[in-house]
Amino acid sequence: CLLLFICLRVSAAAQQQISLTMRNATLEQVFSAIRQQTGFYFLYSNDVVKKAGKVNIDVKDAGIDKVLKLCLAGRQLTYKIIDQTITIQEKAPEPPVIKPAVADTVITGKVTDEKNNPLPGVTIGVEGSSHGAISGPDGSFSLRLPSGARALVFSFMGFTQQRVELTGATTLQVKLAESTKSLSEVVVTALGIKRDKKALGYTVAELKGAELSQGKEVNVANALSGKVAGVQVTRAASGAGGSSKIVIRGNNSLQGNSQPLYVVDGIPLDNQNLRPASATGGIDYGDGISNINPEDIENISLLKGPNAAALYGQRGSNGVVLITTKTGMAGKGLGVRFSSDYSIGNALVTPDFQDVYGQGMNGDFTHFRATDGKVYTMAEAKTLGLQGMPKMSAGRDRIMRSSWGPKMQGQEYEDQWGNVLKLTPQPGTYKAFFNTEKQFVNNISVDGGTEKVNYRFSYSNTSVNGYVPTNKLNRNTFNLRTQAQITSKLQLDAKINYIAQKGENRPTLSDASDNPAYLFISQPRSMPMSVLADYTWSAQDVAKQFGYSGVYAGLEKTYATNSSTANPYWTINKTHNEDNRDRVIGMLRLSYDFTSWLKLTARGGTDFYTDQRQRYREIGTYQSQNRNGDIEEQVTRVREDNYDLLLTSNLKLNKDMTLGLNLGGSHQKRFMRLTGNTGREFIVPKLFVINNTLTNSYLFDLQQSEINSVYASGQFGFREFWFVDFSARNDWSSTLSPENNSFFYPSVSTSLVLTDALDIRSNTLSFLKLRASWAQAGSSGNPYQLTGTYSLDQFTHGGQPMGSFSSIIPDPNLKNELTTSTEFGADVRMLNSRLGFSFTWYNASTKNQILDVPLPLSSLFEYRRVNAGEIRNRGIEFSVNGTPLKLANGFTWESSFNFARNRNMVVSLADGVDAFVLGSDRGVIVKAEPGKPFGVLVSNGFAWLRDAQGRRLIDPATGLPLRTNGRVQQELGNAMPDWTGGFFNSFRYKGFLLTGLIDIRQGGMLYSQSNREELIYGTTKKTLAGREGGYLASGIVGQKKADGTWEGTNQPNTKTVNAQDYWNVVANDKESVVSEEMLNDASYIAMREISLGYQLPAKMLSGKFIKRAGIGLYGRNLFYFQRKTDGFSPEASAFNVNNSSLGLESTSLPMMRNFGINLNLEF
Amino acid sequence: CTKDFETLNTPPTSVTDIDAGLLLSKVQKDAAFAEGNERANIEFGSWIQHWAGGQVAPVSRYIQQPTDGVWAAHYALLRNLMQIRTQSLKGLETMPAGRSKLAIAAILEASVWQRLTDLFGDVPLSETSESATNVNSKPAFDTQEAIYTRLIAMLDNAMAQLNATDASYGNADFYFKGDVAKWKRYANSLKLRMGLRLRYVAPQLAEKTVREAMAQPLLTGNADNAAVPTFNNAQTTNAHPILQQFIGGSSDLRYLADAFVRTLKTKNDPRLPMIAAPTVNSVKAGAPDYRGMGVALTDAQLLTIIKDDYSTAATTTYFNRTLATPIPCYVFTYAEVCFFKAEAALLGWGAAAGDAQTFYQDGIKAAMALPPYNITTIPPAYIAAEFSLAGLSAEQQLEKIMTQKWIVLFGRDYEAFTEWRRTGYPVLTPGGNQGSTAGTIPRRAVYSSLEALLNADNYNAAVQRLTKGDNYTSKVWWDKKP
Repeated sequence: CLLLFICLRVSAAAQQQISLTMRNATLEQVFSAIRQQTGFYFLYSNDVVKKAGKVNIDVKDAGIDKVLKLCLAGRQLTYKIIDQTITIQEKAPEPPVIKPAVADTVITGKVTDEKNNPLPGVTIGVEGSSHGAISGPDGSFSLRLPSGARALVFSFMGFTQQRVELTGATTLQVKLAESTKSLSEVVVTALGIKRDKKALGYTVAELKGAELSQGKEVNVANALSGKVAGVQVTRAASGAGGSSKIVIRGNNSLQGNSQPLYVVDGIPLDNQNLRPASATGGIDYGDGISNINPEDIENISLLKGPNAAALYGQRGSNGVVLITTKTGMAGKGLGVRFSSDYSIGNALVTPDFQDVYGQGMNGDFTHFRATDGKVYTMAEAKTLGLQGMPKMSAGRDRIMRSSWGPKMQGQEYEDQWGNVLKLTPQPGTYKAFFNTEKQFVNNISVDGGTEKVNYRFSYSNTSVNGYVPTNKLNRNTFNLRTQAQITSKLQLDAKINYIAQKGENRPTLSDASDNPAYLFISQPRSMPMSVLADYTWSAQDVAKQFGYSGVYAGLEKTYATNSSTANPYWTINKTHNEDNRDRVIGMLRLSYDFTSWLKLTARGGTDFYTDQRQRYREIGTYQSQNRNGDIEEQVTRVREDNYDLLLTSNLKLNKDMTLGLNLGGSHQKRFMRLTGNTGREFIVPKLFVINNTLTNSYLFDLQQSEINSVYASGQFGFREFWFVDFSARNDWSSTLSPENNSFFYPSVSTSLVLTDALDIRSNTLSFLKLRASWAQAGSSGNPYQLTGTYSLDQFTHGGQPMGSFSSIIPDPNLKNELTTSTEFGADVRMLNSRLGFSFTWYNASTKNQILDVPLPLSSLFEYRRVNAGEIRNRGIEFSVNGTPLKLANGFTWESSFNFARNRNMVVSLADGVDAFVLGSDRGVIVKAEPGKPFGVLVSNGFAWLRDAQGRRLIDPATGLPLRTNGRVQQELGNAMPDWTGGFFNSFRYKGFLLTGLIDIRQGGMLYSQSNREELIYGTTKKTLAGREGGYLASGIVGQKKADGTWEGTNQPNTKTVNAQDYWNVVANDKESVVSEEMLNDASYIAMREISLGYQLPAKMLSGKFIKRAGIGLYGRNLFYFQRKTDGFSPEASAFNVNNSSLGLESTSLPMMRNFGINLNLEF
Repeated sequence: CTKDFETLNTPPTSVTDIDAGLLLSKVQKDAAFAEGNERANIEFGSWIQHWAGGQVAPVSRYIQQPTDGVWAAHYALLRNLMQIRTQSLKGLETMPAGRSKLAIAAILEASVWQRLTDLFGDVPLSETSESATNVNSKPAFDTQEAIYTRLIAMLDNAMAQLNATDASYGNADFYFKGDVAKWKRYANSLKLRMGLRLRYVAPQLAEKTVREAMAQPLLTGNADNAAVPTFNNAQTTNAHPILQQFIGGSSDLRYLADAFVRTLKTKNDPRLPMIAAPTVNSVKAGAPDYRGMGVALTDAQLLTIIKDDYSTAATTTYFNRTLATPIPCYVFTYAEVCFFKAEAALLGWGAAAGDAQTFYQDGIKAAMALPPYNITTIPPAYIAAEFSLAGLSAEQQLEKIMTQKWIVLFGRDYEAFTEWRRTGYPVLTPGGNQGSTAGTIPRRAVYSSLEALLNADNYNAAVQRLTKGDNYTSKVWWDKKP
C-alpha cells in the first residue's frame, strides 16, 4: 500500500559526457580529470597505474565506458564500475587465447610481489586437477602440465589468489597483489551502499571475516570484544549458545537494552532474546545474532550511532551492525573450502574457596549421634559426656550448613544422611561436577561462477558439549547465495539461509537453586561430591537423616532444606529442557541500471522462525509443586518482513561538483505469537506431556506492528576532497496514535580531505581528513502502549472470574523518541600510511523516551508511560594503528590500539520523577538519576556506622563493627566503566601469523550476590583469617551517647574477635548484609585471544589435490593481567542482556577459557 | 497506507472496560488471602507468636526490613477499587444500578485503608490519584488521626447508600453474595472495630463511634461472617493461604510458636489438635505431644533446635490438601464482633459492664464452631476454666477477652498484630535475638523502600512525625496504651 513518487529532474545525458584532450599524461591525471567531470571515484593501486605509463587521449562528449577503454587500451588493466566508484585492476589474459596444454608440457616461471620481490612458497595449482608445484627461494617454479590444463592458480597467504589462463607460452611472470590492500578503502554504509571511506563524515568501523574467526566464538557478537573503539561487549554467563550484548557508545535507553540493529545483507535480523533470564532465575535461550554462522561472514561494518545509521530510523539510534555475507566470485572456477575447528573450554575464574574448615558452627560440629542412636546437640553431648560421633545436620540456613566448623583433619563424622565419613577438604567441587566444554565446528562451502552468474553454498555444523553436564547445542546452517547478471542492465541477488538449532539442558541462571553454580558457593567445604552424586533419597538415608522434614525414598536428595533447593546432579539427570529453533532468512534483490548513473533496486527480505521450548522436571524434584514435577511447553513464532525500493543516481553538476541522490521507501512488518502451556504435578511418572498433570495454565502473547517509511539521501562532492552527505526520513508507525504516528528526522555530514585540498604530497603526512556530522533518529516504541487495560486472572476462584486494572498508566498521546547526535573527528595516516590515527568526539542525546516512569505506589499506580527524559552520551574514541616493523625477509609486525571513553549523563527524567529503577536485587538498587550517569548503585541493605572522618565505629563491648538498625539507601558507586580499550598485535613471517588481543575495561562497579553467599557460609579464603580468634576489625572504638546513637572516640580498635562473628555482621543472611562489602571493581585487562596460524608451504602440497592448507591454534579468554573481582569474571557475570542486570553479578556460571585448533583446506 | 494501524495496535489479550464485579472479587480474594500467607506468617504472624519464623526469615528475628510487598499489595487493591468508582460504575452514583454497588466498594475500601494505616501509621490517602487520567505522583501522607476520621465518615456514608432493591454483585461478592442487609451489619461492625481502635488515643471519638455502632445491627452469627471460600482440588491459588504455604512454601517455616502452642495446651483447648500437629519425635516415641518453637532465637539457641521436636500446623486441617470441607479464608467473624462488644461493655459504651461476660462467652462459642474446628460441644472443663469473668478486674477481663481473640485470629496476622499492639494482650515475651529493636517486638511495619526513593519529600515529612523514625520501634498514633 505504499505509494512512492520519485521525481528526478536532471539533464543526464549532458552530465555524463566527457571531453578530454591530454598529452603524455599519467593515468592518475586522466582519472582526476574524469572525476572532476563526472563525479566518479577511482580506486587503484599506485604501482599498477604508474607501471602503465603515459597516455594520449582526445575525446569529445564521450561516454565513460568509451573513455576508459581508450585510456586502458593496450594495457593489462581493466575497470569495473560499482555504484559511483571505478575500480582499476590488472586484468587477466583474454579468454579467447586459452590453449589447453598438451600432455607433458613443462611450464616455468617466477612469482613476485608487486615490487618484484621474489615470493617463495607460493602454491601453483593446475585448475581442475591435483597437479601442482611450489615456488622456490627465488620465486621460480617449474611444473609439468597434464593434458587439457587450461589455467594455473597462484595462491599465497596474505596475497590475493590469482588465476592465470594458459595461452601456450611456456614461461610465465606472475605478480601477486597483497590481499589486505585491495579495495580496503571501500566500506559498506547504510542501506548497503558501498562508499569510498574518505568521503564519509561519520565513523564506520570495518572488520573482515578473517579477523572474526581467528578464535572461534559461537556467537559472532563476542568476537567484536576489544576490537573496535567504543564497542562494549558483555556476555551473559549462560552456557552454550547464550546471548551477548553489544553497546555502542554507551546506553541510550533506560528501558530495553540499547543494543544495535543487526542487518544481514540488507535485511534486519530479529535479535530478541525471547523471555530472558531475570534476577531470580530463568534460562537464556540465545539471541538472534547467535544464529548466524561466523564462517559465512565476509565483513562487518559497525555504524556507530545515528550519524551513520540515521537511514535505519527506528532502530538505528543505537547504531547498526551491518553484516555482509560471502558470495561466489565471478569468473572463478569451482572452489571448495573446508574448515574444521575443535576447542575445549574450562572455567577461567572460580570462587576462591577455602579448604581448611568444614561444615559446622563456632569451629565445631553442631550435633552428635550418641551410641544410643539419638542425636543430641554438640553442647548437650559434651555436657553429658556421651560416646558416639559428631553428626551433621541439614538446614536451610547458616546455622546448619555453613563452613564455620572444625578444622578438617580427617575426623570421623556422620553426615546429615547417615554416611560415616572423614572430615577432609574437598577442593575440586567444580571440577568434579562440571565438564570440559567441547566445541566442534565444521564448515564446508562451494563457490564458483562465471561473469554472468555466481553462487556460493555453505553448510556449517556447530556442536557444543557444554561446561554444565548434559548441556548441548547443535546448530546446522545452510546458506545459498547467488548473484546473476540477467541482462546487461538487470541484476539479481538472492539468498536463502536456513538455520536449525537445537539446545538441550541449558542451565538456569542467577538466583535460582537449579542454577548449577548456585549451591556450590555455599556448599560445605567438607561435603564430598560423591555423596551428592547419589541424588535420590534411599530408605536408609531417610532413616538416618537429620534436619530434614517430610523426605521419603525416591525424592531428590538435597543438602539444604529450602523450598527452592536443588541437587545439581538431579538437575542434570532428572530435569530436562530442550529448544528447537528453525529459522529462515531470505532475501531477493533486483536492481536495474537505467543508465550508468541511474539505478533502481527493489529488495524484499524476511526473517522468520519458530522457537519451540519444552521443559520438564520429573516427579520427586524438590522444588516443584508438592514435589510432583512439572512441565512447560511454549511455541513462539516470530516474523519480520522488510520491503524496500531504492533509486540511486550519480550526477555531475559541473567540472568540480558531483551529486548523488537516492530516494527510497520501505515497509516493515513484525509479528510475534506465543502459545504455551504449563502443567504442574505429574499423575503418572515418566510421561512428559501436559495432559499428564493435575493442573495446568496457558501462556499466550501476540504482538504486531508495521512501519512505512520514505527517505532520501544524497552525496555532494567537490573536487574529490570535500564531501557533504545528507539524509531525511519519514516514518509512519502503527504503534502510535494517528495524530502522532508520522515523524521526520534528518541528518547531514561532511568530510574534508585536507591532504588533497591543500595538495600535500608528503611521505610524513600521507593523509589527513576532518569530518563532522549531525543526525537525528526517531523511534516509536512497542505496540499496545496507548490504552490502559484490564487483564483477567488466569484462574477463576470457584468459577468466579477476577480482573484487575493495569498498574501502568498509559498515555494515548505518546510521541516518538528522538536521538540527536553530533560528531567530529579526524583521520590521519603518516609515514607512507604505516602509521594511522583516528579520533572522534561525539555527543548524543536521546529525548522523549517512551518510558514507564516508576511512580510511588501510593499514587495507586506503579508506572506512568510517558515521553520523558533526556539521556546524554558524550565521549571520545581514539585509535592508532601502525606497522612498527616490516622487514625485507617478509617479517611484519602490525599493531593497533583503541580507546573509548563515554560519559553518560541522565539529564532529566519525567516531571516530578526523582529516580528510575533499572534493576534491583538483594541489598542493592541500580538506578538512573538526573545529574548522574546511568547505573548508580544504591545500597539497600545495612551500612556501617562511621564517624565524621568515615572510619568505622567498633562496639567496645564486642569488638565488632556497628551497623545501622535498618536498611539504608546510600550511593555505592556506578556500574559504568571509565574507559574501555583494546590492544591488538599481529606478527607475520612466511606462512606464520601470530596475533594477540588484549581487552581492557577500567572503572565501574559490580555488586556480587555470590560474595554474599560465600561470606554468609564461610566458604572462601577471605573468611579464613582469625577463625580461631584474633580477627581485628579495622575501625575506631565507638561510644554510645545518651540518645542511643554512637560517636567515635578516636581510639583505634584493639579488641579482636572470632572471624565467624565478624563476617556474620557483614553478611548474616541473604536479606541481611552490609551492602558495601559486596562491591567489586569491574576493571580488567584480559588476554582475550592469542592465535597462531600457519599456511602450509605449497611444496608440501605440490601436485596434490589440495590447493591450500592452513592450520591454526588459538586460545581465548586466557588470563587476566588485571582483575579485581572476587571469584568471578567481571565481563561475563550478567544473567541477561538487558539493563536489569546492569551492575549485578548473581551466582554466575564461570566464563570459559578456550583452547582450540583449526584446519582450513581448499580444493 | 496507515488505515489498518489502529486495528493492529489494539491489544489482543486484554480489554479496556470490565464489569465491576470482577474487580470486587479480585479485591476481596486478594485482601483476604494476603493476611495468612507465608510472607505474613513469618513476619507479623511470628511477631505475635502464632508462628515461629526462623533464621531464614530475618524479620522474624526483629532484623528490620522495609515491608515493600505489603505496601504494594494494599495500593494495588485500592487501585482496582478506584477503577470501580471512576470507570466501571461512574455516573451511576445515585441510581439503583450503581448506588449500592458503589457503597459496597466503599465499605471494602475503608477496610483496606484501615488495615494499611494500622500497619504503617501515616499513609497517603487523600492525595492519591483520583483516577487513571488524574494521577498524583507525589501524594502527601495523611496522619492516622485524619485517616480514621475520614474512614468512619466513609462507612457512615456508605451505610446510608445501601438499598436492598438496588442492583447487586451477586456471586461476584464472595462475602455476602450481594446481601445488602449483611453488608450493613458488616459495615457497622467495622465501625465498632474502628471506634475501639481509638480507645486509648481519642477516647471521646472512640466512645461516640462505639456507641453509634452498638446501637445499630452488628454481625449476628457465624452465618454473617465475612469470608472468602477456598478450594482444595483446584489450582494452588484457590487453596487456603496456609495450605498454599504447605504446598509451595519452605519446610523450615512451618513451625508454630511456643507461646501459642503452650497457651492452647495449658488451657486444654479442644482446638489444639486441629491447629497443631504432634511433633515427629513424640509420635515416634509413641506419645504424641505438642510443642512450639521459640521465636526470634539467637544463633546459640538456633544451634539447639532439633526440628523433629516441634509442631507444625496440623496436617489434618490447615496442612491437609484433601480436607473434605476446605477452610474459608476469614475476613471478619462474628466471634471478633462478640469480643469487641465485650470490650465495649467493659467500658459501658452502648452496653452494661455486666454484659461483657455474655458477649465473651458468645465469642468463644462462635470461635469454636468455626470450620475447621466445628466444635459445638465445648468440654465442661474448658467452660469451667475459661468462661467466667467473675471477680476479675476490668483489665484482667480484657486480658481474657484478648487472649481468646488472639486464638481466633490464627491465620489473620495483620489484625492479630494490631489488636495485640492496641491492648498489650496477651502478654508476649520477646525472643532473645536483639535484631534491630534491642530485643523488643516490632510495633509497626517499615515503609516501602520504593516509596522512600520515589516520594522522598512526603516520605521524609511522615518519618519526621514518627518518634523513633521509620523503624520497627516507632509506634503508630493509636498505639498509646499506658
